[in-house]
Amino acid sequence: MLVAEKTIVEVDNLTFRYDLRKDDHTLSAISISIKQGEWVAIVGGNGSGKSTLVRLLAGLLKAERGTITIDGVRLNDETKWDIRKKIGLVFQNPENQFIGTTVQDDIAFGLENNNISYDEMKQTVDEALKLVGMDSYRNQDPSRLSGGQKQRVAIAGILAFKPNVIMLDEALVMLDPRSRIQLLSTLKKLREQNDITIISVTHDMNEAALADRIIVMDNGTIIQDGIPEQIFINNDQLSPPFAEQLRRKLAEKGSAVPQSYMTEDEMVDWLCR
Amino acid sequence: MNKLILGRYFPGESWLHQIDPRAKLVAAISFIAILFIAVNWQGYLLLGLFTIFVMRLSGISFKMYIRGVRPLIWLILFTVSLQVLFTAGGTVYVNWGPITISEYGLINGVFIFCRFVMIIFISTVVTLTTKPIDLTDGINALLSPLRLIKVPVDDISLMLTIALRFIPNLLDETQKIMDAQRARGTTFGEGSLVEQMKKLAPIIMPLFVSSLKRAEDMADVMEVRGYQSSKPRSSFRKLAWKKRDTVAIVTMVVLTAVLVLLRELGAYSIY
Amino acid sequence: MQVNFKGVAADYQIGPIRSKNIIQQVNLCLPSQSFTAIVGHTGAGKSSLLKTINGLLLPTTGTIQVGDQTITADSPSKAVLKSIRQTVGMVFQFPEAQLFAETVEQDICFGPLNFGVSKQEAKQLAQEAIALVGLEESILAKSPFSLSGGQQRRVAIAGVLVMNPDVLVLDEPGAGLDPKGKDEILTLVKNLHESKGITTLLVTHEMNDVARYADDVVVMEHGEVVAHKPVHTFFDDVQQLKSWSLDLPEARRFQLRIEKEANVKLPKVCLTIDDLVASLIEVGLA
Repeated sequence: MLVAEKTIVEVDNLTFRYDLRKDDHTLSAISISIKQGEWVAIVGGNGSGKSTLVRLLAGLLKAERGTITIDGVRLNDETKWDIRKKIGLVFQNPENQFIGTTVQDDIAFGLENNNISYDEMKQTVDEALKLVGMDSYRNQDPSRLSGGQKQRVAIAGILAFKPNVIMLDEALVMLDPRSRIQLLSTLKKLREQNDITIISVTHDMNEAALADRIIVMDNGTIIQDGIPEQIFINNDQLSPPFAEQLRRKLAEKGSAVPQSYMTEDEMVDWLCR
Repeated sequence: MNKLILGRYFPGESWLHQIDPRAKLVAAISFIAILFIAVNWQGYLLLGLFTIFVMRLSGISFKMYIRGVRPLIWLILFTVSLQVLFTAGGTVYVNWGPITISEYGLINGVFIFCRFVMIIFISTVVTLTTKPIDLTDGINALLSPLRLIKVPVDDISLMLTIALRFIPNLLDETQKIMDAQRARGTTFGEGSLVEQMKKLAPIIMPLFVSSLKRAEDMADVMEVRGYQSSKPRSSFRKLAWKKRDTVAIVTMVVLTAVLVLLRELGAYSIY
Repeated sequence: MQVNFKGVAADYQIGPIRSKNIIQQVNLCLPSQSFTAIVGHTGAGKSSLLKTINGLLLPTTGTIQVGDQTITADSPSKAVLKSIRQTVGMVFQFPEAQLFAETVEQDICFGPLNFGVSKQEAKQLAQEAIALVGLEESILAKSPFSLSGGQQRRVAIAGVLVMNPDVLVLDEPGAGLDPKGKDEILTLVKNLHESKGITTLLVTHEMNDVARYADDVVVMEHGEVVAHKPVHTFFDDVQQLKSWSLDLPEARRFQLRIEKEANVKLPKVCLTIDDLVASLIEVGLA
């Protein structure tokens, strides 16, 4: 995968706890560096700190120690409003993040907050609607949209700022399988055409397998960081994508499958050899 | 809850639907004000005909309007009977101690009744033909002079917008929770008042919890999308004043003038 | 216990807006002790059909028979409804939204107490139910709102299982959970179905779950039941599935890809990864 060398997200020694009186840290001394255009999946069990991390990156929580730098700018109370134009966050529940009364009103919400002129808004909203394939729904109210369509609108609201990074906090979990697949292919397209970095917190290993890089978190620390092939081979806690599961089952049954991680295409090629 | 028509929107394309919400609000408020100019039957006849005309214009069946009045009928009858019983003058028909039913009392009662019904009909016309969000925009526009005395008009209207946006969700959720509890054997609308109140806890508690959760989520969403209440915001929603809006306002002015004229002519005033 | 729909149609009313015939002309017999998945797109009428089973939604025409009780269009007596609601357990989507009591125990006892079980007995039942969903007894004293999402889901399910239903209806019981949590919930449902012979009805969008857990499939479209087949037959007819724009389970999808690219035919319709492994080895591909 071609990834530009520019670092877009730099996390250094990040430490956080919800309750300063207690000693249990939700995040302890985390450091990550993410390049422009990368697709990073963050996985880990409940309470591993993965959601806390993206909330810190969005400036919704304040770190106890350590720094976050987005596109060369240190995140703090003064810069957070500008940084949020560069790094958008899509939340889990499609229903609760739809603020506007119609699709286009919702996309405009962020622009209104930044006091963008009407003419500029109109054009930006149009463009964002097209990018996520929702232009024919612009006047619909949220009750007539599916969960997947609402998440598309949320993404369009972020795209309106021409961001560098889109973060997804388990944003696909409430969707049905089909909408999930459709939304993932939209994200893929967006990344390729607009050079957008994607950071996705997820439980879905099929989704994680699509990433360039998987970060596994446990108990507030990063325990693994690497390409999907490595991660799935070295971590038996994660249930791998279907093709790899198949490879393992075949190996158990004494078949002569290769000993390394296989994607679906590789598996099909091997079976049809 | 499902029977109340006042306050609901009924999608449509009628002439009334297309009137600017500001014009509609101003017209409705002035209509309610001029109801008090009418003091004789000619005046009420004119207003009544006007109301019927407007209801016809909305393209919504009269049945809907009647259904809208029904939940409020006891309140209306109560007020009317107070008027009938405590207004004196003209021929006295019945006289039991402090209670008298007089000619003027009866006439006044009929007028009050008509006034009530017309107020409800006209407000129903406004809400049935205006999208809640447009209504909020209209209110925002009408309140905007208050900005001069530091009233946070934009915050108020955003609050209204968000509340309106989530009313359907709240209704939906209430329905779901009620279904779930009914499936677990509870029945609503049975037993004494105290028992019925107790049965509300299994609905109100979950609604409360989910609303709090929703509010938390929304606060986060608004923050990451750059909402700061102190900062000036632009608006994507634009209201456009059209010819028909001027027509509506002029109609109201003419109506007022005719009413004043009728009153001045004093063609059979009861006072 | 058998559930039998005969010519059932129903409307749905929210406020002044009435959706006509949200389900129409449904004839469907779910045999005693069957495990049936209901699939179909959003708005196909799945949830409404479920609600007619225990009278949360009354039919405009037709009858629904649950065991020897019958629901008809003219509002059935409260006694009939109560007895049906006692035999039919309903787990709605995101059932944790129904939790309300101060303690888990009180919440689970809510159902039994409504059905006239004594306090003592209800507590006993609550203990059994909490064990059934794989939670510790100590959780009974806690507030349901202090639990994790997955635990809340289990408590809510326990609140339904506590009535020892003969028919269990579940609307996407795994929605919103991580894959492991979802598997655990569905395995629990499957085990209950097998050990207690509960007639089970599962609404889901996830074809992998249909393949793994259900015996039969019902397809709904525009308020009608358009198919009712055993799982194997259902996933065999790929063209038909396409016409309903329904997806395939992963094992079956993979099978078709292999069959096409290697130009072979596997000996059977593979619904699970184990089926697929066995078939691949059998034909000598692996």
